[in-house]
Amino acid sequence: MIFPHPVTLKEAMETRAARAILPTDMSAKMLSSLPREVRERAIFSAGVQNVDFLERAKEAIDKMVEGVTDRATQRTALRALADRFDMSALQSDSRLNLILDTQVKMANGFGNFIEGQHPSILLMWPAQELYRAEERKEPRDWPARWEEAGGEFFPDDFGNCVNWTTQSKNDLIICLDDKELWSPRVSWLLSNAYLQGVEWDDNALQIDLSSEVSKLQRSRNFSLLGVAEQLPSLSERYGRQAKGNDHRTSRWIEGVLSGELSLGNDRGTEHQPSHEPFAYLERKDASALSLGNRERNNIALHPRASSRWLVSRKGSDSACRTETTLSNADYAAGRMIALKTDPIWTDISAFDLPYAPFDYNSGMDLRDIDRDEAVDLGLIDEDDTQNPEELSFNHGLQAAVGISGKFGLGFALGQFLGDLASVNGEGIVKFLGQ
Amino acid sequence: MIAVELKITVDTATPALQALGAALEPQNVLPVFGRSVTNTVRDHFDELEADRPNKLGGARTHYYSGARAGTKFVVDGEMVTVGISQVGIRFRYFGGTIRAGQNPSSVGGKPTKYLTIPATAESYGHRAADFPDMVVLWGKSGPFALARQEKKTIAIADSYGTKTLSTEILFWLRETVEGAPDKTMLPDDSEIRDSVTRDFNRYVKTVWRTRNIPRGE
Repeated sequence: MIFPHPVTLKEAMETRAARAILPTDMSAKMLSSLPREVRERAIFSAGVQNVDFLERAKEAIDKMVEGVTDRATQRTALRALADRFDMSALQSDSRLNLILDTQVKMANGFGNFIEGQHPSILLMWPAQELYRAEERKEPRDWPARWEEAGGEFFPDDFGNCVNWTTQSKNDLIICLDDKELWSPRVSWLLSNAYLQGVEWDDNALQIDLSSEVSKLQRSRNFSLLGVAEQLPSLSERYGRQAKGNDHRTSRWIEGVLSGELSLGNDRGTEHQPSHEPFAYLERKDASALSLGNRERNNIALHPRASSRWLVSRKGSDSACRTETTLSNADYAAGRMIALKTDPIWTDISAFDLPYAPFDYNSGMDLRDIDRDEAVDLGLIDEDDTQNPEELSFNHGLQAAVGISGKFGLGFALGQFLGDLASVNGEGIVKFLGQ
Repeated sequence: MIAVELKITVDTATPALQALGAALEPQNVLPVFGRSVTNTVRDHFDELEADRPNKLGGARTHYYSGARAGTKFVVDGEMVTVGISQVGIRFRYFGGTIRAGQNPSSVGGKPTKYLTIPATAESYGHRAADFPDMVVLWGKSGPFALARQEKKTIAIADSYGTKTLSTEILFWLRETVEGAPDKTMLPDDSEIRDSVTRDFNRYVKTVWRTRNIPRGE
């Protein structure tokens, strides 16, 4: 299938409907090594060679994508089928859920990706954010994966913040003790997340921070530990270097905290090194850190007038909940945002695809970042535009892909690809790109 | 001598107007409307996902997250339609009556006689066929629940009777289920209208500034 021009969602979904089944006994890891174009067009599941089962699974997935049936119904039907075929590996709820969820999310993710590549939409929403859409008991460390792929972190919803977790159970919060540095959004955060019940109106823009610190100190959740002219470095504080020393984020944290770096942004607006005193606020009730998905525990080292600042996540929501997880987080990350055309989306994907889901049962999804915010974050200049990513089925298929005959995949791929490929006697599939 | 003057004027308005004209073609502007509404609805489902866990507890099915992922738009001519592909979303929004017999049973394949309403966290997100060890509990007016065969747990049938039983009820059986409309399932009209208006204005402004001519198909 060739998409010589940006395609509509309808076209994309129709293409999706034309997917073929691909019986294989390859493992999930082996499957991930297949070319993207094959994985996008094939319905398969690791180790599943039964064509009838895959046909039925495809029907189930199509119906679920259409919204005419639910997972429980289809899972029950598939399990009955697995029973009949004596496929013991497919009789567990978790395995069947994984198959159905992954494929449905793939279809939705693909549709969203194609939709997002429309020129008008790309113009309006040029970037996207990876975020936790569904909670998990043991979430993967997505910020680490993001960082490893070279991703940049951005301030969270509540303002330009830096925060991190400590190795102790309590949460250390560090704030610049200068009222001019405090944005109204940070004040809002303070009032709402930590001083619940205290409301601020627009007049709160002119708050006197020292009085707010006193309020915080008086509140039952905080104690003022002290005020220092300069913060200790991360290495001094934690006895070792922060993760990713070569990454800008950690360098900034280190530099800012040591006073060696200017507070500033990437766009040339430099500020003087921070000599302002810091207020140390420690949260006493660490157990109260079990915050909901939308109540990230953020607070606040706010550089003045910086439009691009780093940042951090206060651990994932669940990372706040246990001492063990906290001790693994040298510092927290921030929002994971990049242009839609950035290769990082493929880089973070276990499936090597530029759209969600990026891993099995990850709970992560994407949401649009509009142009104004993307400009504010420095991702794009005001006058910049992006070219939609063209999807060409043949584009990535010029290379021959060696696939061992023991996987029984060569013939299946040949059937699946039709005229687009030839299979030689050794099970090597040669893709005939145009 | 005749003086020759050559005046060169840089026309900045025409390209911008051309871009704007193209940008307002349905195939270019309607996707903006569609995505704007879609994003508003998706954000709303995100909030519901965070705020509305399973009433019965237990493993979450992430119903609202699924609704979010299933929210898409389709441009058809000069109209854009936003749809939500999620079973039950219409019932929740509009309310109404669900009757047994509309779908085949997950056990026998025949039209269902009863709807199975989860009674515990364990049964939430499951079908009756997932529990092979169940028995039907009968009352004066017929079967009313599916329960574990040999469980000794005490269950109180609070909302469907006052029986106390020495078994564990997993599903209530009902011939019909009434649902009240829940308009909070979707963002209210004003929120959607505001987002579309805002995004349309941004779109025009962006096209004007960038001279970008979207070329949607």
